Parts: sequence; C-alpha cells; structure tokens
Amino acid sequence: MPEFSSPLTLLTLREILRYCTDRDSPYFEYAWREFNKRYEKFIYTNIKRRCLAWKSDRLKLQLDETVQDIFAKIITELCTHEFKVLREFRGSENDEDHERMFLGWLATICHHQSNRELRKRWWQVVQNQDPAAPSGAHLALDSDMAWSLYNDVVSVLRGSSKNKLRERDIHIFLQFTVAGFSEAMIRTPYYMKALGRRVIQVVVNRMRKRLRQWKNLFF
Amino acid sequence: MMTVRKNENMPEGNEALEELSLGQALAVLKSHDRAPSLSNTGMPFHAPGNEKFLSSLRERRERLKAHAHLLEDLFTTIPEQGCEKEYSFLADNPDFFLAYITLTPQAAKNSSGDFFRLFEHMNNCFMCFEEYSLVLRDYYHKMQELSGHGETNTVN
Repeated sequence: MPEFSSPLTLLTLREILRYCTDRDSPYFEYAWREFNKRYEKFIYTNIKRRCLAWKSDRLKLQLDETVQDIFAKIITELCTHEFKVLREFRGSENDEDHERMFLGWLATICHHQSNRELRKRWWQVVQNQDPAAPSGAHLALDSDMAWSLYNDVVSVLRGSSKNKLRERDIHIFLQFTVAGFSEAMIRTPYYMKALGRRVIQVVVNRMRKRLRQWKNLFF
Repeated sequence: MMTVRKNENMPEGNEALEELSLGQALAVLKSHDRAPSLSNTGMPFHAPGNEKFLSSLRERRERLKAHAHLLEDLFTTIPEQGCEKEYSFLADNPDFFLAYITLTPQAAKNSSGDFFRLFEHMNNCFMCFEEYSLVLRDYYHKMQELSGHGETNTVN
C-alpha cells in the first residue's frame, strides 16, 4: 500500500495525481476530495474570469449556472478515458515548480473549456436555440474571440461571392442575432424602413440555415 | 470594443441630469425636427451641457447640408475592409450618424448610393458594427421614450 508523505490530509500534488488516476487505489476517493479541496476554488475563479471577459449581458444573468456547467465539464474532461488528460500532465522534478506548472496547466484547461462552452452558447443564441434567454440581452464578446467568431460567421454567410443584397442581409442577420435588435430597431434607419417584418424574418431564417451547414466550423 | 461616448461638453456637477449619448442626442434632434414648438420643454435633457452638445450637432448638420462634398466624403471614405485594431471609423466619425440618421433621406442617399459600402464595412469590422449598434440602440430607445412609448425591450 502506498504511503502518504504526511499523515492523513497532507498529500503532495504528485500523490494526489497518482491516486486520482488509479481507481483501484484505496486512496482514490480521498485523493479526489483533496483535489477538490485544493483546486475547486482555483478552477471556479478561472472559469468565472473567462466568462466575465465575454462581457455578455446575457451571460451575466446566467453566470452561476454557466460556471457550474463548465466546472462539471472540466472535471469530466479530466476523468474521461481513465483520466487520460490528468495522466498527461508532466510537471517538474522540483515540488514547487511542479505545483506552479500544475496551476498553469489547470488554468489553460479552464480557459479552453470555457471558450469551447461559450462559443457553443454563442452559437445557440445565433441559432435561436436558447428560448429561455432573456430578451434585451445582447451578445458582446471579448475582443480576442469577437473578431474570430464574427469573421467566421460573415465569411460563411458571404460564401464565394459578394453582392449588394447579401451584404445587407448579412448585416440584418448580425443586427438581429449578435446585437439583439428587434425587427423594429433594425428598421430604424430610413433606408431600412421599407423592409417588412416578413422580409427580416425570411432573411434571418435563410442566414441561419446557411450557417447551420457550417456548424462544425464553430466547435 | 464598445465605446460609450457621453456628452463631453457636460459641465461638472450635473451628474443628476441625464447625459446624452450620441444616439440619444440624435433622437432628441430628430424629435425637435418633427415638433419644433415642443423643443426642450419639460424634458430632462434641458441641461446646459446637453444644450451645448445639441447646438453643436445642429451646427454640424447645417454645415453638412450646406456642403454636399462633406456629406459625400463621409460615405465615400468608409473603408471597404475592417478597421485596424484600436481604431474604429464609425466611432471616430460621429458626423456619419448625424447624416445617416437625421438628414433627409434624399440628401444622404444621394451621397451614399445604396449603403452597400456601409454594410460591407460593418460586415468586415466588428468594432464599427458594435459602434453602429450602440448608437442605433440608444437612438431607438430615446425615440420610443420621447414619443411616449417608454422603454422597449429587444426581442431575439
């Protein structure tokens, strides 16, 4: 039976990782409890920071449950395929560096998983698959992700050719989805006044349909 | 990057009074155009700073109307591609919104063609898209408020 470096609670990070990735270990559950005790707050903080960086009014209203969801996904990611991800962590010989590198590694996982989830939620909103979302809460994204997502959407919608009508339609779609404008708001400038509600609905639906064909690009 | 441009002419000490954003000021201007006799009466923006802001917008609009080439320049200089980071064409050109929202349709349309260039640029430039959305959103809500419809929620 493996021995703890200190009695009971004080497992080293190496021991935690060893027991957390070994279901047969008698310390398996204990090690996971220790893992949670030490790193749960760190993971939550990192996820929350990432979520807030998206500057989305919509997200702020659902922040706690979003953070909770992402936390559960990170733990799942660490545990799948017999803890493959956790096993793959390579730290340092030096204990202090080992801990520091682990925190950096964990922060990266939080960052990636949060972005993945946030992109998914963003997609759901753009595709109107989020009926519970409160109205009036427009999407805003942090600058890093914003340009890339926005450009991806436009390039998919634009397709291979540019034409005048399509540029207007893409704009209408982005106003409706990304900016959260109502039909009345879209029709505010006099140039848009002639557009009927039905036209806006048709344009948005057509754009959504086109975007759906490229779903894989966004995940 | 979403820039909230408040009335820079607002003097210190008027925090209790509403500071008009560009979009809101354009709504006030537009509603004055529609009902000049009601100009400013009993409205919360009747603050010296806002008055100055509105006057400056009126002056700039008159200048745009008087010099067709200024109006034309506004629309023809819209970049085709996206703006460089840290610079947004629309955030830097409030006169564009002045022309786009408050000038007579014909005057602006003559200079802008069919707005293809504007849409193309905004589709290429997230910053300008955000700036445009911000101004239009403020404008819409203020218009609703001034016309007695109050706040209107957007619906996705």
